[in-house]
Amino acid sequence: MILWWTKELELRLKSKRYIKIEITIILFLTLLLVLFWPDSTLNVKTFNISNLSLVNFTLQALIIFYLSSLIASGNLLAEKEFKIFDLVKYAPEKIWNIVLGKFLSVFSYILILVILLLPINILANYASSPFEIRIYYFTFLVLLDSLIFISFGILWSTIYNPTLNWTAHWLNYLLFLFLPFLIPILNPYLPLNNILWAGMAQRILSLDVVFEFSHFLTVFFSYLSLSSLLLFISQLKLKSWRKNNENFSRNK
Amino acid sequence: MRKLLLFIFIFLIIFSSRSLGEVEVRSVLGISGEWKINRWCPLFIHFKNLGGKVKVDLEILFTQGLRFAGNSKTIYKQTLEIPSLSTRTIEILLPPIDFRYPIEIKAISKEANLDYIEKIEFNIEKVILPLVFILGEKKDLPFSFSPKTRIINIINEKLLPINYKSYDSADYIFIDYNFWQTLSPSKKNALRLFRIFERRVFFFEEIKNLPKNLNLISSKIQFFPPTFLESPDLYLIDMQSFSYPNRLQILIFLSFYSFSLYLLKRLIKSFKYLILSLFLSLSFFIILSFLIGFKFKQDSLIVGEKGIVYLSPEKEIAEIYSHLIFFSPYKRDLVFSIQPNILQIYQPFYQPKRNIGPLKIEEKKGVLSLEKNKISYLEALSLVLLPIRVSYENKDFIKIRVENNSEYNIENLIFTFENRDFYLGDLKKGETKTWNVNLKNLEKESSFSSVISKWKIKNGIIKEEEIFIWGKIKESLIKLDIEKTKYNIRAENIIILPLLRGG
Repeated sequence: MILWWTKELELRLKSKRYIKIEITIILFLTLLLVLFWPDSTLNVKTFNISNLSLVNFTLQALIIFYLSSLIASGNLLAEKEFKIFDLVKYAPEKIWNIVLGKFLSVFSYILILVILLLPINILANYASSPFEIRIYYFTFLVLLDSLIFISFGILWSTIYNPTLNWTAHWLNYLLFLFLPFLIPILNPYLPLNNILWAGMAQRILSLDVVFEFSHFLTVFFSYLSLSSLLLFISQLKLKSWRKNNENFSRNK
Repeated sequence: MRKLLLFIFIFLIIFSSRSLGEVEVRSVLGISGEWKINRWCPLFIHFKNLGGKVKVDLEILFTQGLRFAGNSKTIYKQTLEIPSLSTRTIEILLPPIDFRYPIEIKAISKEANLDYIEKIEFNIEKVILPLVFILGEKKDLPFSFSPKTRIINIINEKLLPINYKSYDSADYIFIDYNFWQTLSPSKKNALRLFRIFERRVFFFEEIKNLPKNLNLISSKIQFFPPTFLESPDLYLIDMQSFSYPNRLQILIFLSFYSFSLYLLKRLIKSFKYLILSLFLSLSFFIILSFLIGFKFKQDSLIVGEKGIVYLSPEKEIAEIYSHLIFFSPYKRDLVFSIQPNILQIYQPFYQPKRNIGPLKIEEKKGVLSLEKNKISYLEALSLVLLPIRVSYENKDFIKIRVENNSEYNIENLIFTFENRDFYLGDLKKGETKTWNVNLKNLEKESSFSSVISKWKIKNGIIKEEEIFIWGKIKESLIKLDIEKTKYNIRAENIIILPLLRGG
């Protein structure tokens, strides 16, 4: 497979719209960090160091999950020129290569974004109480979780109707956030739980935050399998769509 | 025959180089087993090794606190080497003992099969009683002692401690001059130093200058443990600044980071160079973030120091009682080196606290375990050379000359004469000043007592003087080099320069 998707990644990295998104996220998280940064003067009665990791990791994960789904589903305004249907129509590639390339392109971009946010995360993690180095866990888990959002996003991008695509992307995002509260037994296996665990949370509303090694193994393998399945379904849907639209002229 | 002799010889060499487990340990608290509560006292541990050379791990546990509301522990550790067929005595200066807790001693040596554990219990009714030592030949003392006074005669030099502060356990010490002449220089120096600071040591020839009634009283049992202060003073740490970066510095750092990202992305057109420059820039900022993060945790420490400096007018040596207060938002171990001039250091008890780690003192190194968001304390007694010369003439008016060759600035010097004050002002380091004080110009009442009362310093620590100069040193006097930590310290020490001997 020619690494055509690197071109898409290059365009994304150079795109002014994407720069705006990145700078906005970095500045938002910077302001949040500065706001919660511990006082440099000790007032014996009021001094306290909050859990900056929890605030920072959770908000950041919500933004990254949303962005993963948004970009992959082609709903981002900047993504209009990278629509998957156009690639299927005109790109001289097999459909599987297009789906996989799309996935790799979005994942690489999310990876770069997570790396760009590392300085903020390091500072937030070190200035947190309780103190525990969780930045490595968070970076790995947020990337693992984003696999699911990207894969679902690609699946929704195969819906030709923009309104249905947008609705599916949003419902999917919200469902992942609220599913733990609807079906508590699933909580250890859903993205929000492991991000909260990385942020050293003990409890969220009515749910205990528990994430053990067995949960991690389940999450790791099930997310990879589910992602592969979703990509496979996306490919099938695109194949079916192309079959129904054979009258499009293609180079190959 | 020769072979047999050789075999016996080799056997004896091997046998003698191994320990037989014949190490005897005996511990004695106080001088000749006598000490007084609320005072510093010595602990002697005698080792008698009848076997081969052995290494012994010695551990002494000193505890202050309340029975059910937690306590503060200090563990003094030493590793000793005791040569074959020898005796060795270890002398340890102990801070004022809390009557609730016995002193616990552990001496363990695997090679000598030694497992010595002892808790030194004591009779509280006995240790409160007045204590007088007579060193040398016992003579009649022309004082009217109460019948409960313990008068102990010591004629064996080995029973005397080397540390001058160990003699604090006695109310008075009377020395026979003939015995004095037989004493070793170290014991003489210890007694001399104690006499300089405490003035409770006399030769029999000097007894006639003393009042008939020495007014010896029994010690009072303190409900709160014997510490330097009545209660901790949070002012020492309140509103102090941490050394870690503040909000503005973090904002500037991250703004610079986002701005550099923006510039790189806008200016570099080539994808390869963009990735390379992003990698380099990111590496730089990630390393910098880690450094700031490490520094944040390391430097999140605030220290306060309060002390009483008592300068001996004759020797330019000062005795310092230091109280240190520590705060960190994180659970951590502070490792610090203990300077040789620190005589002893311990963890005092001021307020109920649970799960506070002990203070460990080992080989001139201390480790204090701090709990998250909790205050910890240290107290220390030290001696320093303080080259401050004071000369004083009392004619028509009082002429005072103070030469400050120390490295400290002294602020707000006050001359106190029979409970009346005269403000002298500041004296910087390296400065010499002379004042002529007319007794008519003295304030009606001295502010010394009220200042000491506000400082919460316990009465027993301040020696009562009739004429003295006192001021403040706002620099740290106790040098605890805390490893790998940059911290701010607020220090307030009161220095007392006595001009005339009382009594």
